[in-house]
Amino acid sequence: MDRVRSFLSALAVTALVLTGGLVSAAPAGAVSATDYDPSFIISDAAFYDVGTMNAGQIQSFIDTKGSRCNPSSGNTCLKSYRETTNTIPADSYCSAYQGAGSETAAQIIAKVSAACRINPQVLLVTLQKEQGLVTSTTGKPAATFQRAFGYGCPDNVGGWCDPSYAGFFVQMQRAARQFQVYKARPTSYQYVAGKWNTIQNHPNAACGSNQVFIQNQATAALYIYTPYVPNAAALAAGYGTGDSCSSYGNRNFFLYFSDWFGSTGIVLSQYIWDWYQVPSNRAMAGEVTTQATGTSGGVRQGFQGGTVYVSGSYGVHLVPAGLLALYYDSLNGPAGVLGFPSGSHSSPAGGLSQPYQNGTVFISGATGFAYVSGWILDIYKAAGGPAGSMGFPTSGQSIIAGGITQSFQSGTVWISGAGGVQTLRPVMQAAYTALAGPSGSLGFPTSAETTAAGVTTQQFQNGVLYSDGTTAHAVVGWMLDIFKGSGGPQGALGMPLESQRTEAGGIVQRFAKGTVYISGVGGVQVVPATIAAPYAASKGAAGPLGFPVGPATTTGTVVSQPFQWGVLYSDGTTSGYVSAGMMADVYRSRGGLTGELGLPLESTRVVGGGLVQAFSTATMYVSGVGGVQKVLRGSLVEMFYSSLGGPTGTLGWPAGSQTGAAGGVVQKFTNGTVYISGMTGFTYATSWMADVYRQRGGPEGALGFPTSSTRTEAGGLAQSFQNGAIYISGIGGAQTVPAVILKAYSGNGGPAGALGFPVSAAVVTATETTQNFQGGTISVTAAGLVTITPR
Amino acid sequence: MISTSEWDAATGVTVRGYANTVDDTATCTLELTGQGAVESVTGEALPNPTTMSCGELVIGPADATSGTWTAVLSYSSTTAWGVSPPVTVTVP
Repeated sequence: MDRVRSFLSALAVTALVLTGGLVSAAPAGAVSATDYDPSFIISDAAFYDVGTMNAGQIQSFIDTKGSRCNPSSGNTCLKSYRETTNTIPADSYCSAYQGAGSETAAQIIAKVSAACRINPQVLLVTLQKEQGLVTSTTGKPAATFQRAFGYGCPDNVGGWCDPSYAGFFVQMQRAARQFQVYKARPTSYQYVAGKWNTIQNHPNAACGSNQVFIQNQATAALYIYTPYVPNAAALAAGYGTGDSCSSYGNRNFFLYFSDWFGSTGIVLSQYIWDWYQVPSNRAMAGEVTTQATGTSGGVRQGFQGGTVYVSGSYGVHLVPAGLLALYYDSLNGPAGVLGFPSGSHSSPAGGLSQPYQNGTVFISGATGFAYVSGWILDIYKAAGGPAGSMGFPTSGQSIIAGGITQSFQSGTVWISGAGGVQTLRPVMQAAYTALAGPSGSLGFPTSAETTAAGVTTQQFQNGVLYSDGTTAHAVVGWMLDIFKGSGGPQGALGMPLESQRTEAGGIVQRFAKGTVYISGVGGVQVVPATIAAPYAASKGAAGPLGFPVGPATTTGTVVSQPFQWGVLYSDGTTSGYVSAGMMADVYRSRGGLTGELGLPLESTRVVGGGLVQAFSTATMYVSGVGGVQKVLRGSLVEMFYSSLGGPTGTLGWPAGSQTGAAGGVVQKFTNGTVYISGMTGFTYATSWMADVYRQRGGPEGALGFPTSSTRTEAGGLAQSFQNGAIYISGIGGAQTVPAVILKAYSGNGGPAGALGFPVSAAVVTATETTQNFQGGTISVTAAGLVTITPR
Repeated sequence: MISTSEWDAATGVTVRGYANTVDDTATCTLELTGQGAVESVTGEALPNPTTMSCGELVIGPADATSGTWTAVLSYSSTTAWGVSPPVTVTVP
């Protein structure tokens, strides 16, 4: 109550208050006389509210309250009372009352309430507090009905009443009208709202008086009508009797009204009250639920149906509960970007909308929450708003690069000094956004989109967006000149497939029929799709090839194109580039693409300080130690060489060409020689052993093909051949052990055994073969008898 | 009786009150006594259901000079006459 009181004090007479049926009523009996606030008996809102009950509801109320009324002889219960009323023309305070025969009390109350705009509940309570007519159990005589409101019945004349005001209807109409007179002339009577007033406790002035700051007009009216404030004894007595100085009229008004209709008053600002009197507004708002509070220079007040805002410039408007209120509150209400509501809400195109001081909110299930403001709002409205061509907004408005933009279902509006007002449809907008919008390479849009031959285009400050309806890509600057020069989307390059990018300091853009490269070293070159794929796989201009430096050419099924650091070849399936320099020279010297090597199967590789590249017919090896050599593609040598690690493996680099020998093949490498035959398989001899072997006839000599590769034994070298073995040691030098000796030698442990390395060549006679070893001599007779003679 | 009495620089002294009777027509007179002078003003009484209002009787600032004044409200009709208890009004 303290809070209410202090707020009321602040608002003084400009505030109106709702109570009773307008709000969630306090339960009957919840208010006691000690709750009586002499400065505030009833709110203005409740007092002057005519919409609380109709005639049927009033009758029902009277019936309920008077259900036990059984009239004594000569008495009438209010529920049964009827009176023929006369017509009273309208004046400055009440509209006309149309008289009728045999009207019920409820009908009279309802009609007087409507004519004089006084809450029928106030009239019911006044009937009760003046004469106890509502709850009487025995009814009242006609004389009581004649003075039902005590109108014209001064307190000091012994119960006399002015006969000119006699009659139930006349009493009520005069009383209700008088309340409107007080309202119309708020300072002309003895008690004034918003001021301190001296109010007696009782008609007997000796009983004293109270100083009362009357807070509102309705309370002032009640004190003028019944000019006494209850003393403490009256308030302590509830509905009962206090002392000889007690008065009860205003106390009882408060108690009956509170008990019957609820006692809590909620302040409405004057403007909200006026707004609330419009039936459609009242229907929207429902009952008031919160006190009015100041906000951002205006007033806000909660109702069942939402929150009503008042601002000096934008009037009184309801923001309905639900999505609109949710969004508005999320934007900090009137203190936020939207300011105060400036109009009523509506439901355009199945969504929600409400205008505010700084923009209009639009909400739909498909697009969510957004507001539109300023110039874009003007454009949007001109286009029909949500029901028009633009649909609902899908984003908030933003300022980018000095322009203004906002997205809608049908597209995004851009406003700029350079381009005016333009709309980008979603496909164009997506591409534009990907290019950083107006801050990017395109700048602001300068035209609407146009479509021709299946291609949609839209002009920008610095370029053009091209779309096939699904995606869109920009072509800008120098590239745009080239593109247009080639015939545009219908020309040699076809549609752009991606936006321009920079690569290794050059400018690159991919089109349907090729990729354009612009570089200082290569100028403008088009890389066809056949070349573009392997070129991209080798990292394009940033890779080992650098930029294209000439146009692509086609030889048969192979397309080739020169780049800064080599030539790239592709038949669409197989591709590779030949690096500029030695490999390019080798390739060229061998006839290039149409020469002995054919199509590169891979790109030039740098391996162990040399170059390697596979071609259709052979793999070329270029090294300082081996020179320029080839290993035939698919050959047994290539297979064995590869298994031994190629140039960085056992054999090192090729040092000669493959040759045939004794039905097998031989090829020299820097670290040894490969020998391959059908009988002996794949072997090699390392360089010293290979020299000895070669000196002793090689495969075509007595030893035949190696049956093993060179190996290390007991600190020396050994290698087996078809017809013997060669041992090379520091003590014995290079010696051939013939097959007839070798079996016994091996059987005695070979070089690691007692015999050690051979120290001389075998001596062959007609009867035996003898060979000296470090540890003895082996003799083998023609009959095969073996003699070992230790040294 | 006098129910409100107040002073402000723009309006002067304003007094309101009522008489505990009901008449068709009546007049109310405010009389300010003090500072060696008597100032008065008369107005029409307004009817209420049970009283007659003597509302908004004003003596302007030119007459209600600085000092302490005694205000008395009198009521007069063809059937009734009365005088209120005096009330002190201070004009700063």
